Amino acid sequence: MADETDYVQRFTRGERAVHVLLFCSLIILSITGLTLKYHESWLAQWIIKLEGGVLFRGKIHRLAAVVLIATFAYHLLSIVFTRRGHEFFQQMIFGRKDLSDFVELIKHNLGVRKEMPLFDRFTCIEKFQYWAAGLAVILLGLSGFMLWFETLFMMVFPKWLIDLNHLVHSFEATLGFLVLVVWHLYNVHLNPQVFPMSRSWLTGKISKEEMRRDHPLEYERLYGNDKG
Amino acid sequence: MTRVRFILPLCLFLLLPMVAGAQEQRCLMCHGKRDLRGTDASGGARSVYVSEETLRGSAHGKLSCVDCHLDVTELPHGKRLKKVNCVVCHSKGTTFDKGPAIEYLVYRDSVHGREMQKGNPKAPDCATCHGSHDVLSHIDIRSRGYRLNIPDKMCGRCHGQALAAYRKSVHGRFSGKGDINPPICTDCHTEHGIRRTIDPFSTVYATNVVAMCVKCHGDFSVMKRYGKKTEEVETYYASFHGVATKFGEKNIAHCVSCHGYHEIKPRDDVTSSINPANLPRTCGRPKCHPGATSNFAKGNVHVNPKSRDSGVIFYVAFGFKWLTITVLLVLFVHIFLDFARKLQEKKKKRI
Repeated sequence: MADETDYVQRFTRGERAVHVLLFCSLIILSITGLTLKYHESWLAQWIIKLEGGVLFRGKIHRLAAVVLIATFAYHLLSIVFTRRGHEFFQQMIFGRKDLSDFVELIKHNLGVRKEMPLFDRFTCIEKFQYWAAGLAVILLGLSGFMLWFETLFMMVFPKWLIDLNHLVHSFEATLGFLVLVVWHLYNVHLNPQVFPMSRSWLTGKISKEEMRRDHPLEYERLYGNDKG
Repeated sequence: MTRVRFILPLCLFLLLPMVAGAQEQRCLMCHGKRDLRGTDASGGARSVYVSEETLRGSAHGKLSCVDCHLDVTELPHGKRLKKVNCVVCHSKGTTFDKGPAIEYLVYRDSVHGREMQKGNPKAPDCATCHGSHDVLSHIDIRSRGYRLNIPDKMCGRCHGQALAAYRKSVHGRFSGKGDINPPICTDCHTEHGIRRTIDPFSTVYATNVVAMCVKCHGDFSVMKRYGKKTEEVETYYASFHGVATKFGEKNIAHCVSCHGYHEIKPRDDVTSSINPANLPRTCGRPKCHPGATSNFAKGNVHVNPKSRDSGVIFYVAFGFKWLTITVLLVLFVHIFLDFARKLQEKKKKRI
């Protein structure tokens, strides 16, 4: 068993709790949403029965959406009111280095370059995921509210816009779901470095070795150049 | 003596048709008079005249009076005769012991049959719809049961309001012109098994009525004759309303909720419930979208994202489809490269 000092605290308890809430709500939203989109398949019909009928399914979906929006609000508040959140947000903003990092990462993966690019706390991939997920939540949240209070919104908007909104909600959610399942689950489960699962979502920690490998610039900032 | 024994039955046998004929003549001695009146159940006067010509021209033209009026055993007969029981002949097979005809069994459970059993004097029995002495086959153009006569000569005699609304509808106008394709009363309500709209077994019950409309509106060969499309069916089933109805929800809009039932009219008719000017009222019913504005009429109601006619919705759907495919392809390539590289490094480490 590795020594306590071999690990770095990466996520606070609050952040881990919000992550659990976030993925629970996303799983429920995905199930209730996809069963509506693919209501013709026998599997969806079976699940809709479990969900208590097609209208109750909608109620579950909206409840989960409220939870998702709450986690989003928690995140926004932490950016505005906590030093840690504020710093992280600034580190999340794309810089010129991210583009060169990405090109180098592709080169590395293709075997053209031997060394990995040197990442800070957030890699270019992580930054991209962050912004894509954030925008998806904003877009899905807004379009979801329009579907939730459709009569209210149709006092202002014509029907075709609501139909377009319905379409965008459905397509955007499917895209988000697929990216999340394919990419995120690969990164934290199938990825050979962490297989079968990265435990940091439970413990909030990563090993110093992992940090030196994946976030060398951050490691250097925290511990200097020593080899642990 | 032997000769008499032989001749007497022969004479009787030969006389039989004459006797039977004489029997009819005996009935018509009274019932052949045009002004003959009897009293009905409520005590009012009612004509009991029977036109021999009508009877002979009917589907039952070869029967004699007492074949149906079984309670007439002597003349003059009693004051009140029983109602004729059609099921005596109209049973499964040729004899009564096999049970009544399926039409009767279905009728017995219908709203008409149930009202009859409750003793409602207005409830129709066989003769109310099919006629009594003038009963004709439904393929006879003079018959009440002939397809194009059903609205006016059969159902409409009692259901006058429904008939008036139907005659103004697109279905009623076409069938009134002699077109046999548009639905008449029985196409939606069925014939003998008519049930109330609140009866879950009714063909026009909330969750069954869509299937009723789809019989024709989902049939391309029928719709093309009227220059109509069938995509309204698919687009309805793909909508929130359609999905909910398909899963058995009763309080969600189905065809009838918006288009009406007897009074269905095309969109360009100003009195139609789906005329753009009337849509706010149709959609804005208290149970549906109270407070609906004219924005409800701006855009298609039956939206088909796969059709170019949907405009911007078509292009956005098309764009999103390819965006999803592209993103996933790029993602898979990226993951494959990343995976291969990391696996390679892991192997190196082990060595």
